[in-house]
Amino acid sequence: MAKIEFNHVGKRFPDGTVTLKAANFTIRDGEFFILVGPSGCGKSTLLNMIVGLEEVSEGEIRVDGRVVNDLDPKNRNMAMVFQSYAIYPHMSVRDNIAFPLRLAKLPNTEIDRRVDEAAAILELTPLLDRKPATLSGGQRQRVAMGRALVREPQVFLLDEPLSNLDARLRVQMRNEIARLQKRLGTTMVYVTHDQTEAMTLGDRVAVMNRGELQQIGIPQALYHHPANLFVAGFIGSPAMNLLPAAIAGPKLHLPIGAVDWPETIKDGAYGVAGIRPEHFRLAASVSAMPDTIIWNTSVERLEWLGAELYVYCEIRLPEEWRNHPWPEALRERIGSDGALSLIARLDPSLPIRQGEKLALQCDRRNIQLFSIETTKNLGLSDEAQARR
Amino acid sequence: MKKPGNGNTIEYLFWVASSLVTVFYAVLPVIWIVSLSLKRPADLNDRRFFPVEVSFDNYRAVFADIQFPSALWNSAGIGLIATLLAVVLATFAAYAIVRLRFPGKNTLLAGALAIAMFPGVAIIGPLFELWRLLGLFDTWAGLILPYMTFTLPLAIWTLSAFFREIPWDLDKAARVDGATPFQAFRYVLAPLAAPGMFTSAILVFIFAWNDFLFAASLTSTNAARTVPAAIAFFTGISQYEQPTGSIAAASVVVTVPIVIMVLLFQRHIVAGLTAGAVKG
Repeated sequence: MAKIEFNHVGKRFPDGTVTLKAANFTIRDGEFFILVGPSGCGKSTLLNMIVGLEEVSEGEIRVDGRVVNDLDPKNRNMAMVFQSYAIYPHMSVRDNIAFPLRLAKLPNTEIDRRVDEAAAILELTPLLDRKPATLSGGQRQRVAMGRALVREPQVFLLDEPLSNLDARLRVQMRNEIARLQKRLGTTMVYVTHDQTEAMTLGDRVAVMNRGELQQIGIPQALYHHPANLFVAGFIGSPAMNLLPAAIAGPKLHLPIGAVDWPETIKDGAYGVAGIRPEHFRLAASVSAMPDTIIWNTSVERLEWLGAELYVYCEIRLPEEWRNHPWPEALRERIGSDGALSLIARLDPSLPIRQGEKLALQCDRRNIQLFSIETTKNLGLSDEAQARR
Repeated sequence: MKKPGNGNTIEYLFWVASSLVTVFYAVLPVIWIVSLSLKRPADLNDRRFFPVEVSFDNYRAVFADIQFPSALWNSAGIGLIATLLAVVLATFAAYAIVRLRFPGKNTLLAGALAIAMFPGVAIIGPLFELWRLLGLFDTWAGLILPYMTFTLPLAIWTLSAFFREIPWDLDKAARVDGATPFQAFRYVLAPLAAPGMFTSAILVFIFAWNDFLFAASLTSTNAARTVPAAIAFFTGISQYEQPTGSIAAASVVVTVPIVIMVLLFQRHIVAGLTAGAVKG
């Protein structure tokens, strides 16, 4: 049980590379906390700093109020599950799980009791005398979990624990980890690059990119109110549609149509609009209402997944919009000929065929607007949210 | 099932034939020495490959020689101590070289290799004088030191290759599990590097066991003279006789421990001991 506080925590390597920029946040006691981001975003560095495998080069980390910056990993009472599992290959499963307890010089009867208990929880009992080489990936993963579990640590740290498992096993272990965490109530910090894991497991999720925290919040907040373009593009699958936008008069002009925009934003400014694929619907009528956009398009490509139907449509940006200095997140989606692909998630029972003409509509409330300079969500002020 | 075709048969024959040639080439001198050692002194020049009559006279003569048993004792003692020290030191050095970041790491490795390539004969003269000055001449330590020096580089190279194979996550896991750096080394890394340690041990021991140069130059009595040097001082049964038979018998006697040692340690040199540590 522990609360972990980060006070301007940064990591700078001697050669000048900065992998983490002044992080300020708190992981609450008993929380399932997720660090998510693309590879190289500094999430593993942060985890290694918590456990003491990486030095903290600036700021301080406090666990239950106590600064742990210079505490040796062995004295932190934290357990870690590595992406590679890091099981000791020369020891049997039993010895692997018992290793931390032996180092702590617990009496043998207590060690046996705890190992048996952990093995029972993880269904490892029949495997206790096997060597790791004879185990499957999922079993090795459970041994690694067991070794963390027996310690009864104050914090669990998991570094992409499921990324080496196949899809089916991953879902199964994901549920087991979630159940285990609820049952133990121990603070758990979980690093992943998989947004499904992040969204399904986390009490709270921290999104990181390029060594910087982008947003911390409950999964719903990240999904519905992404703080900036990066979070908007990272959370959600398929990714949020991004469109160039211009504000003229009280209207928001998008390549797919215009809509009344009541929020007070500088007239004549540009922005990036974000629309989630599921917020497109088949238009009920062809005439536009003031607060909806009707977009007449044709189906470029279809993906029918049984429970979902993804419709890919393409728009071609007018010349003057192509070369505007859009933020990277949008620019990389625009083709050299000005083509921009959009995705709509529709009802799979609809009889839509490739090449077919469609009219899609989108409600104004479902459009997020991001600044092109700061990439921040312009609609995120409390005022703006209250008005929605 | 695919039957082995013509090409496969030829390939198979090729491998069998080349293996046989290699083994024959390697074993022929050994068989020749064994055969010589079993001949009666009178038959030594009979130009036959196999002895007409098997005789153990040569072995009796070797063990009757006063200096041979003590030479055997010196060889074993010096070889084992040099091996132990060299492997322990090399293990620490290799671990440091692989895991720690420090300036001059590559220079250190290159320097170690340079020592291994240095011809031992070049330092024999100065070493002789120095050892006499320091009182190391004709002592065990006087031989253990140069043996360690000349085998450490090879041992360090071998062991660093093994340590490089061990996933770094294992050290980290051990540290997080509550081990001190030394405990992590002792309980996790050393057992995994064991095949490397046995490999280097064999190399060091064979070097020390077979060395003639240092043994002949830096010893003068039975106090530290090892078998290769002692063999050179063998006399025949009479002074008019070449001690060929005794030399052959002594050679066989000293080869046996090496063969036994390699066979014993071979069991420990299990490739892929790290299998299962990480997702493979």
